[in-house]
Amino acid sequence: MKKFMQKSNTALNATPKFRKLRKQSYEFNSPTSLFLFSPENKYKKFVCGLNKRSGRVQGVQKEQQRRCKSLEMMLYDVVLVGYKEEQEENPRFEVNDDVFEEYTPPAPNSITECYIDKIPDEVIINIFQNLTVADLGRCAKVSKQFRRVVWTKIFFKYNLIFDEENLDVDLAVKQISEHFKCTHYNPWQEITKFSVKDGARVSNMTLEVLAGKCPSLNCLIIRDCPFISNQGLFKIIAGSKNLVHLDVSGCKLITAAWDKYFTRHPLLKVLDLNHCTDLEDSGVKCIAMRFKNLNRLSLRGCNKITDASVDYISNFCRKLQQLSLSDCLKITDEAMWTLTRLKSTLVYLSIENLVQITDYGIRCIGKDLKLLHFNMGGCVGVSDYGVICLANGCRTLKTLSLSNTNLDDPGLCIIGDSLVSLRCLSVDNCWKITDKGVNYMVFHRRNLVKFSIKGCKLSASCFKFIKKYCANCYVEHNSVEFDIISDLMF
Amino acid sequence: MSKIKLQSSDGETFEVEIEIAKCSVTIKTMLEDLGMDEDEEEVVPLPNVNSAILRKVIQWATYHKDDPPPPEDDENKEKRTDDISSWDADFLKVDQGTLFELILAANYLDIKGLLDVTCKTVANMIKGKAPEEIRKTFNIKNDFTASEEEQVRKENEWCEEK
Repeated sequence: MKKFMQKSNTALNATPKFRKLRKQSYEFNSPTSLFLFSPENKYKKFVCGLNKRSGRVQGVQKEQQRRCKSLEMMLYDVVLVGYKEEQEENPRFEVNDDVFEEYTPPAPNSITECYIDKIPDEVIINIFQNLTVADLGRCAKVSKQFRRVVWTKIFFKYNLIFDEENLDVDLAVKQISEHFKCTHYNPWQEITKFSVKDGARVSNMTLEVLAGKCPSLNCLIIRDCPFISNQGLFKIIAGSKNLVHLDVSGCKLITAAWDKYFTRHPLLKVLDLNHCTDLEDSGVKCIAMRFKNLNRLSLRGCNKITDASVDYISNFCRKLQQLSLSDCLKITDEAMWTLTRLKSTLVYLSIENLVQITDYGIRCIGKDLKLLHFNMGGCVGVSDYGVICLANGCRTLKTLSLSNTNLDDPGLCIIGDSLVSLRCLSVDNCWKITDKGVNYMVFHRRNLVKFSIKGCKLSASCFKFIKKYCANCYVEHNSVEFDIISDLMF
Repeated sequence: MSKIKLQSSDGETFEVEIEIAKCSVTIKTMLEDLGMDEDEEEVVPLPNVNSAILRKVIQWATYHKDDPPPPEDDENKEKRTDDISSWDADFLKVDQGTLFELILAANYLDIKGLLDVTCKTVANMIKGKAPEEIRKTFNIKNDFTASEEEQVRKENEWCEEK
């Protein structure tokens, strides 16, 4: 290991260009990206510094990773941002443009020939299927070919996804449907999915249009739209008889309070109401009574609801398979006890950050439920004893998250012994666990496919041990040292 | 492992393992329809693909030979364009001519995985761009007449240019 580093350091110092690059990468706290540097092919090797499995630049902020769409952009940004910061810090810093000469992102203007002309419509359709409505709208303004394909082959054929900040969906829907007025084709009848998210804006009005016109609509996603209220929700439920999936997460006006227009909808299987912060127990009661065949219900962050809601849900929705109550901070152990009524159906449960849950609640779950996936990350009221009860009872578990909990080595050992089906385990920031517990667990659970150990105090030899016994396992961590080890092993 | 020979439009032949060649549905059906015997030294002509592109396609297919079969198209599944693997992204760092020739080859040879990833790459080049930028990126000529231009502007008022 040491030898290897020395060797690469010599290579690094061989030319002044290298030294400059190295300094910049330190700004990003990612020295690993340069260990594989070689004089022959500088940037090529820089790519190797990306984590081979996750494709991320190690040590770079998450925010930046998200912003940079392609790998290419990412590298360009890393170099560029490093360069800028250095300049600001030290204005007299001499700019050495060598760095940029070696990597120039392809300039769009440099193309002299038009290749896309030769592409047949069927392939253009394939490309356009990856675009959302706003992008398609702009494409329709580009050329005759694009316009024809967009209007005749794409719009309203598959789904409508609006996901651009401040896009006025009401206006878009109005204008697009006006375009179809002169044709005999009814564009609404084939729509199966309608989705508004990422800051696009829609009002109840459009929902009313949708409810009346789209007989095939089976998936409706309206996220974070501040104008959507119960009225729009009820209209959709009354009008769209084939709706299976409804997501109105973040529409804060929705309370689902009792209303004579709030009809039953036996087909609805999936309902997401995440962060509907005004939703109260009475609303959950109405929902549970009207959608009795719900398969999945997500109530993350509805922090007005209490144990009473869980009581209604477990009483009325007897087919419920997946339930998320994460961040509903008023929920207590009693809710866990009532959930055992769903023991024959419930397979997924998430109770992340429910600080009022104690060992008693977890024991109820472990004793009666046959869960496959369970997330109890951040349940700080649960001790290692609770985890032991869970692992001893719920032996069907495939995915388990215990991040930010009081998990200790004995708990890990029982997990290793009992949870024979376990594939994914997350123990991020479990400060009590040590090498010993992890080694024991890994030795007995060699078929793990994902193991997350971010923020755990584990040694390099423990990491090697995990890699040795779970060769096919993707280990998620945030240690630069472990990265070097896995690169070397790779 | 038995091999077959593929001949590009410019006459170069490539020897490829049959399993790798069969990731192309076109070649697969051709072999089945013609009843080409796997032991025989057959040469499959591919008149629509030149040698440079065929070499790239074979390189891609060889890397991806152990991939699980692509899932059936699900219309409700959201299309994502940010899930291009780093190997593919590297592989597709080519000039636009090559990229589009790869798309045509993938379409002709019916290799779904390659077609998907190349189309996503092009889609990423379109995303978030104004019409004029799109034209510049692909060197497309604005072929609308003045009256058409007005009509186009009207029907797309809702998506103001960025």
